[in-house]
Amino acid sequence: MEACNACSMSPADPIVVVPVLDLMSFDFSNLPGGASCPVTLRPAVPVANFYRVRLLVRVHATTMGSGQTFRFTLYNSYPSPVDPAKEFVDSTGFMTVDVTNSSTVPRLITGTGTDPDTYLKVVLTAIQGSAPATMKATLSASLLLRNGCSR
Amino acid sequence: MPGQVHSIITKRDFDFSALTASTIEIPIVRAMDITDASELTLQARVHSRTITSGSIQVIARAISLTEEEPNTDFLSAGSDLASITLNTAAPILHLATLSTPFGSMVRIVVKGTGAAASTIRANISVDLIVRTQ
Repeated sequence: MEACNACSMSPADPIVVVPVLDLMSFDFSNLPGGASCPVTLRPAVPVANFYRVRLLVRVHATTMGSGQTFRFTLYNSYPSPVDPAKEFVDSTGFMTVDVTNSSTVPRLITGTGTDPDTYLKVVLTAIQGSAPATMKATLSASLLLRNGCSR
Repeated sequence: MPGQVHSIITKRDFDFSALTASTIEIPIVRAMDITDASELTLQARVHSRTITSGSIQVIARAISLTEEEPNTDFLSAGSDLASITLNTAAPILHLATLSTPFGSMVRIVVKGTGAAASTIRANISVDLIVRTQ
């Protein structure tokens, strides 16, 4: 098998799919207008061996209105084995993927980032619209980790 | 009686401070197979906790999934199998035995109950201890 001319990646280089959210139904209808509620899905997914990160979000069902968003955010993190009680997270998001009411279902929504740190924290944040309204979604998500270019 | 400790979630934050009066439930495991269990204990470690008003609970419920309709959650209409209220200062360990019959699958949720202008936040980890005969 020949390596890619653009990135030298061999077809034998590993490609890993890491499930970060099994199919789950969320109901944030009681969230007040304009409020948000974060849910940590995975505190630290090891990604040090990979250059490219793609977040794959399956939208199975939604009952959402205008202005409402389910936002998946990846944060670089670097847990310390000598101080495991503390969380070392870069507050600037590595990448985000939004599920909104314009996302027809079933649908796949993806986002791609490159050159992550050693670990990624995966957070789902429910963001209510300006006025509280029914906000439900059934979602599942995985990280696709690989090296090299997309060829 | 042999048993196993299953990690449901590792240590992480739950923050319901945005809630003013109502409740929100966050499922942390959709349906864990417990077919072989004869006794189940829910254990929640509270690593840190700031709850000025309102509450946070960890709840176990009976659920069943079927391959004939895999995306549908068949939840029991009965009472919760177990419920833990995080009402003690951290660090603390809470234990609750799941009531029978608990069926073949169990769902675990974290439930936040809001209160106006409150901080409702906790950092917890949750296990399910499964004992078999």
